[in-house]
Amino acid sequence: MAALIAFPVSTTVLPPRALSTRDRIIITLARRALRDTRVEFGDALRALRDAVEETIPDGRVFVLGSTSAGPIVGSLVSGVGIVDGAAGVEIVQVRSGIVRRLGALVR
Amino acid sequence: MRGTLEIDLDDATLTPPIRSIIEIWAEVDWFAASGNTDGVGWRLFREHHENTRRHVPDHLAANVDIRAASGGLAEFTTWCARVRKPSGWDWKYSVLKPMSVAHSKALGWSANALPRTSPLVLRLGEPGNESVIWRGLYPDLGKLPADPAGECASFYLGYAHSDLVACIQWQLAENHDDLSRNPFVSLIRCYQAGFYPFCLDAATVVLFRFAADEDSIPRARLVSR
Repeated sequence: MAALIAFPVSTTVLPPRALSTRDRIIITLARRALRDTRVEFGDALRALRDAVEETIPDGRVFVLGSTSAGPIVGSLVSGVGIVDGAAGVEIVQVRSGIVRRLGALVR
Repeated sequence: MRGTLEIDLDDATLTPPIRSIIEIWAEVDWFAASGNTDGVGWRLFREHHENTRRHVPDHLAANVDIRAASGGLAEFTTWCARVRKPSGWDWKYSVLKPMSVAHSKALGWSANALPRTSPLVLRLGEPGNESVIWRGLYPDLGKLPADPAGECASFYLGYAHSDLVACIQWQLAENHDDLSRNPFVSLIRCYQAGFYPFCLDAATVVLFRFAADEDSIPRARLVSR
């Protein structure tokens, strides 16, 4: 099995408008399912996957790559996904091997 | 450009039909001029259309109007913009994805059925409470240009990749070696032959191919009705 290669994480934090309408709906649904302010990555992953399946017929999440904190899971089309971080689960966007941060999944 | 794929095709858990599908995908020369005639693309798309209609006859017209178009990235970008309009008909979301879901459900298949060591998925979490996530076979084409053309190429690649995953899923659910009735195989072969379908509605598709001379004047003509 191919090992996951850790991508560098940009220090730039993208504004929320960087998300497409579809991605915003998915993130909103995932947040609604996660009531605690501190969630495990596994719980966040299940909430994201359920939100994608609810929003998109045959919707799937994919492994987009990884950072030193673990795998990034999300949409191959938009590059938006989630990854575990020191301060909790974060939303990120992966483009051309660069990971840009979009903020915390749970606020 | 041919992308590199991060998968070991000799992995013992990959069956011959799945290996064949991945090999077709690996041969796609993305956004490069096609050496094939329009007739090749027409035959492949027609096969895809007929195999799809067999499963969802009410979602597609019996006689699809297949038009040929060619040009460079600028023309490709224009076609992408046309099908991405909010008012446009979304072929993937209206037909292919619902068909894929219904097929897996009917056969009771899910990615959980894949072998634990399958290179197609990553299992995250504790056994019994784990999530099975598709690794995907997104070709690494290097950096696509950060302009509308690069963004469209990325969009198209993402959607085509979803066809590949649906194709693999279909064959795994069928659990046999015959690829001829898998509706996604001829679609992947369409990409392999250098044709990029843009479905305008349930009865009209434009098969775009990149011309050797990217400055050539784009054309669109009727091939068949």
